[in-house]
This record gives sequence, C-alpha cells and structure tokens, in this order.
Amino acid sequence: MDPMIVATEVKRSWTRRLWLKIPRELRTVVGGFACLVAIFWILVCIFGGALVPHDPLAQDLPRFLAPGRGNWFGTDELGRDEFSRIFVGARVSIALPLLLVGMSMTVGTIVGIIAGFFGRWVDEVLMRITDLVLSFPTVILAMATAAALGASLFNAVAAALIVSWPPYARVVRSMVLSLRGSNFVSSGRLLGFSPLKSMRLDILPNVRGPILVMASLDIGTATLLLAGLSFLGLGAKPPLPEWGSMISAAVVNFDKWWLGVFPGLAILTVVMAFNFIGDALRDAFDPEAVRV
Amino acid sequence: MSEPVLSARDIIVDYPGYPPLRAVAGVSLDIHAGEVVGLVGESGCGKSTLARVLCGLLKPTAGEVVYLGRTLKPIGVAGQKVANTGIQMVFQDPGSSLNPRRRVGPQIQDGLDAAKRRLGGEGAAGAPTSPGDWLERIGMNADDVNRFPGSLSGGQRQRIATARALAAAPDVLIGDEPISALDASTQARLAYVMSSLTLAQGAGMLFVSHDLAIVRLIADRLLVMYQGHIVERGPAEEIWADPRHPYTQALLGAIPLADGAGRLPAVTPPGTHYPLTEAIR
Ligand SMILES: Nc1ncnc2c1ncn2[C@@H]1O[C@H](COP(=O)(O)OP(=O)(O)O)[C@@H](O)[C@H]1O
Ligand SMILES: [Mg+2]
Repeated sequence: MDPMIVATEVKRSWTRRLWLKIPRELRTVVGGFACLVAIFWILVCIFGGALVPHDPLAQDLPRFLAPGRGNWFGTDELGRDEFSRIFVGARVSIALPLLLVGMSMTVGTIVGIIAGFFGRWVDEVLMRITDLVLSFPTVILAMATAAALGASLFNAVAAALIVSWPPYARVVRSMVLSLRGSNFVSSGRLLGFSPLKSMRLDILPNVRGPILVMASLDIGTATLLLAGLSFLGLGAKPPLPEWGSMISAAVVNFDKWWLGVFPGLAILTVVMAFNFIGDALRDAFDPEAVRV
Repeated sequence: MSEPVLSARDIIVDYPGYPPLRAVAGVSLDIHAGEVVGLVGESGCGKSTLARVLCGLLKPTAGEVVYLGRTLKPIGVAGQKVANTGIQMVFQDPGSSLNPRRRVGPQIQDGLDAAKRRLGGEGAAGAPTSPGDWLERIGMNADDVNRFPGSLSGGQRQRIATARALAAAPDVLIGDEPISALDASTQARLAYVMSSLTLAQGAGMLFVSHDLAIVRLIADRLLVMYQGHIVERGPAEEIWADPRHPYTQALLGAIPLADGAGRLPAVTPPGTHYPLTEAIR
C-alpha cells in the first residue's frame, strides 16, 4: 500500500473525524450558533433547577420589579423572580415538546408502516382516520381536545399527540409503499420473512433517517403548540412555571414589558434553533431537496 | 424425462387499465432440475412479469404455477410458506437487490436460515455453511461480510444477491436479467458463475435476458418471447443456428457482429415498425 496514504489516514485525529461526521450544513456559523443555543437550553432543562438564584415559586420579592441587579428579568405580579421561573420552566417547556415529538413520531411511524405494508382495507381504514385528523386545523383541534379532556399538562400533551402523529403516518406510508415494491423486500419475502421481520429489517431502517429529520423539524412546532395550549389556560396550571402561561399572565399586565418579552424570547430562541437544526439535517440527508 | 420442478400452465397476466394491458398472453413452460432455461425477448415483452408470477410475487390473471407437483399459491401478506422458499430470484437492478441499510453478511445468512428451516438440520449438504464461505464461493473476499451494499460495485452486489438466493438451497433459481445492468466483461462471467453454481447444487434455472448472445452460452433450452407469447422454443444451439420464427430471426439479425458492417435486422415482425431498438442499445 502507498505509505503516503497510510500516513494521512493516521494523521486525521479522532476529533477531526468526529467533526467531519457532523453534516456540512451544521458546520457553519449560523449552524454552530443554533447548536449552541439548543445545547444551552437542553442543559438549562436538565440543570435549571440547581442554577437559579431564587425559588421560582417564592412570592417574597416586591411585585413588578423592573429588570435590574439581583433580578435580571424582573419580578411578576406575585413577586416571583422571572429569571428563575424561565429557567425552571424550561423543564416543562422543552422536555414536554421533545417527549411529544418522540411519541407522535413513534405512533405515526407504526401506523404508517402498518398501513403501507398491509395495504388494502388496513390501509383504507388507517388512512381515512389520518385524513380525518389532518383535515382539522391543528391548533383548534388540539384546543377542543384539551378542553374536552380538562385542563392539565398531561391532557395538553395527549391533545397535542392526537393532532401531531398524522403527518408522520402519511410520510411513512408513502415511503413504505415504494419500499414494498423494491427488490430487496421481495427477496426477503421469497426467503420466507414474516411481515414483522420484513418490517423490522427491510422497512424500518430505510424510513428511519427521513423520519428523524422530520421530527427534528417538528420540535419547534411542538414547543409552540404546547406553549399555546398553556397560554390559553389548557395546559400548565399555576403555580407551575411554564413559558406559555407566563406570557398569558403578561397579557393582563401589558405595561410591564419584561413579563412577556423574556418568556417570548425563550420560546423564540428554542423554536428557531431547533428549526434551523432540522433544516440543516434535512438538507444533509436529502441533497435533492431545493436549498433556499 | 423427470418431473419438472417448476411449471407454468397457460399463464395470463393483465395489468389494469383502459384497455387492460395483456403482459403475458398464455405461457406454459417447464423447468427441470439440472437444466438452464433461457428466456429471451425484447424489453417490455413480459419477461419480468412472467418471472414474478413463477416465484409467486404476482398473482396471474389466469393459469397456474406448479411447484414440485403442487399448485403454488401467490405470496400473501402473511409471507411465503416455508415449503415454497425453494424458489428464489435474482433481480435486474443491482441498486435495489440488497437492503442498503444492512451488512452483507446477515443478508446472506437469511438465505442460509431459509435453507435450514425448509430442509431441517444444517441445510443443504455440501454447500457453504457461513456467509463468508459463500462470498468466497462466488469469488469475493470473506471479509466483505462486514461491508454495506453501497460500497460495492453492481457486479459484486449481483454476486451477493446470487449467493443469498443460492444459500437458500433453491430447487429453482430465476434470474430476471441479473446481468443486464452490468458492463460487458462482467456479464458473461457472472452469467457463468450463476449457472454453474446453480447446476452444482442440482437446481434448475430460468435465466431471463434480452441478450441472446450471452444466454445461448449457458442455456440448454431457449424460449423466445414476443409480446406476451412464447413464439419459439427448443435447444439453444438449434435456435441459434437455425431460427424458425421471423421474430427470432430478427433478434439474431440484430446482434451486432464486429464486422464493421453495422447490420440491421433482416426481418421486421409483421405489425411492428422497429421493435428491437431497446434490445440492441
Ligand atoms: N406494474 C405494472 N403495471 C402496469 N403495467 C406494467 C407493470 N409492469 C409491467 N407493465 C407492462 O407490462 C409489459 C411487460 O413488462 P415486463 O414484464 O416488465 O417486460 P420485460 O421484463 O420483458 O421488459 C410492459 O408493457 C410494461 O409496461
Ligand atoms: Mg424486465
């Protein structure tokens, strides 16, 4: 073998190799910034409770303190520290959307694979249900469901799950339809693969990539949807700190700008960071897609 | 002559449409153990459709397929019956004949497992018992078991697809133009490897191609298909030397000989303008 080639192979350090594994679209300034923001919020989500200067529930400060020393983001109508509430609220406002996306991805993928693989009446029934849910405006259906189930965080997630799995089912089904006709799936069937084995070995690994990309694009939407439900009073209940309900409290005290701006910025940065990462992943996985 | 392992009786396949398209128009054929049957015809004459019916992937509109004396039921949603995994197929497109997300080794192992389930014990006697051994048998390295299909050439993938099919110890192997996407030098070699390994296992083979020049090298018998019909059948050398049907004559006339004359088909079948453009491209 050519000694030169061996030398360069060895020289490429593991950090460099790890770096090259990251999609090119994320190795840009904006991409790096989005990743930093996302990592920041995830760390806050994990360690936020330990980092905050005040108890997010304690009402021992003066009401409506403007942002300043000691209370960087000011205090709210009950004298609670806004900064501490935002940091602790990250746990609900970020972790629940992640959980929601994971669940809707799982449900949608299972439904889509079953519909696409078995076809016929199974496909008919599952896709009619999917279409039915899709034909309602998402937010309104989620609101109606959450209102019917009763206002609680758990119900808000359940309502959001009901409206957010169908797009996954649709996409997965169409991928499965084209996979099902492909030769390697036929080969597996000729070798006597059961439907379950065929789906597990031949179908699932080939839909996983695009679905993960779709899910990463969905995190922003899910964050907005859950915050929106809480904003309407259908999700988090006081005194639990949650960004959507913090904004809804700010609406009543419109002149205290810090009450709305900081939770709003928190939502904005989370949504933008995850959307950007999702976009970059999509471009990386699907080079055919038109870049905008 | 012994009983055929696989036979088709009056197979008709219509694809839905207005009007429906009759892709296979009443075909009967027999494949015996230990023989290679060549099926030739231009693109679109119904070869793939017939091949898919023969292995149960497609339900014919009429007619039946008989495998080892029993009627072969098309594969349903529940999957192929273990007893019917003795019919294997190698497909045309090397890009999709293997699962891109699985390593080569486990995919060949699936073939071995199928043989064990159908025959019991260790599967076929005398055949390689591991994916690595199979790779060596078809002329690749045993280390290639850890590679993904994406890093292999078209010819290598078709070799692996062949190994997987043969690892299932089939009674009959159907090759649906398994070589036509490969370059010329690989074509003849792979056709030879496929047929000799199949015969070494005592199986029968149906080798589909639009290239008469290669098929006649490996086939004992030839079937010439034209617009859904078998228009000529007989020993390969006989047809090659003395084609009877005008279409076969045209097919033979279209094989470009390296004499610089650029010969065109001498006869054009009635009712067609120039049916062979695709076949000779
Ligand atoms: N799934 C299908 N639906 C409708 N028509 C088809 C389908 N598959 C093949 N055909 C048509 O049937 C005819 C025979 O096709 P095929 O069996 O693939 O021919 P060959 O393998 O000889 O090229 C062609 O005219 C083709 O267009
Ligand atoms: Mg074909």
